[in-house]
Amino acid sequence: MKTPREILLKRYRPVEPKLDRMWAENLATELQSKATPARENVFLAVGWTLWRELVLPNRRIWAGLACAWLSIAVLNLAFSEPATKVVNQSKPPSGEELRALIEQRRMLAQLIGPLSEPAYTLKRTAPGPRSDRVAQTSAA
Amino acid sequence: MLVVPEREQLPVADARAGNAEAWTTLFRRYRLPLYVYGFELLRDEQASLDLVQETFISAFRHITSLRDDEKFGGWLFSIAHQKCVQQWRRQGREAELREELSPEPEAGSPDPLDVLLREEREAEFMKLLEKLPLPQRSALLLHYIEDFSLEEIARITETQVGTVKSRLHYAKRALRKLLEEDRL
Repeated sequence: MKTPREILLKRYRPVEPKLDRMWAENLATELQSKATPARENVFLAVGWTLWRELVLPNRRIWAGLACAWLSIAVLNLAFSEPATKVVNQSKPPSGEELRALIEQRRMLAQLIGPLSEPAYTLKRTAPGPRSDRVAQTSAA
Repeated sequence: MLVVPEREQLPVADARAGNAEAWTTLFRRYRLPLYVYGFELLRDEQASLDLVQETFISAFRHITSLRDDEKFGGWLFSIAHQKCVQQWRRQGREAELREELSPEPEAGSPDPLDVLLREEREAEFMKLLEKLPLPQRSALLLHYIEDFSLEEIARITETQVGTVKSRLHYAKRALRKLLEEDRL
């Protein structure tokens, strides 16, 4: 006389060698790779565990984050001004500004002497007619 | 007088710490019960071997999510049960998962599962088990193999305790017929 458990286990006992082979070939390797994590991965594993154990299941944290993001979005929408085109216009100096600048340069010249002029300056002039140039060279 | 394994001390904490020897002990303890559960529900040897393998791989990976070490067996079977359900869905056997049962089983009937079966009745018993609808078979197997409580079976199969009660009742009623024939 046997219990149902005994009947069931006895019936399938011949499969045990297959199960053991499966353990040796696949599961033991899988376990080995999991049981000996690389040293550099330890911090990652600890971080992941903390994240999974403390943060992920905590609904309050997620609710708080959702509220924070929502309020930031609302504030952003409420206080944003309509986009305006800023045109960078450079105004020409007014007459008064020019006079003040000239006055400053004059005072500076009085204090430290006349400012040295550059040795030569390139004068950009529009080219004259060819006939004029010929006249100038012949006169020289 | 169901002869079931006692609540033995299993090295679950060591397994959680990554001890390979502890995992070997756990594998040796649960390999056959898991296989029996898988085979009786899937009726396919390779699928049942895969089920044991996948269940243990899943257990390696998620052992940290197990809070109570005492519930390791139930937790392992719940992984296996989920994989069985996935397999049934892949096979398009979802209809077999639905059942029409009256919610309240009749009270006061003797429990025929607490008796011993004669050797010549073993084959009939296995045939009867095969004929049971999947949800009833699943509940009965969990009851037989590991002597899980109604609450544990409900947790493993993700159903209500009342539903488990009904399933066991109908499965036992079918078995009772076999036992009555045995007495004659």
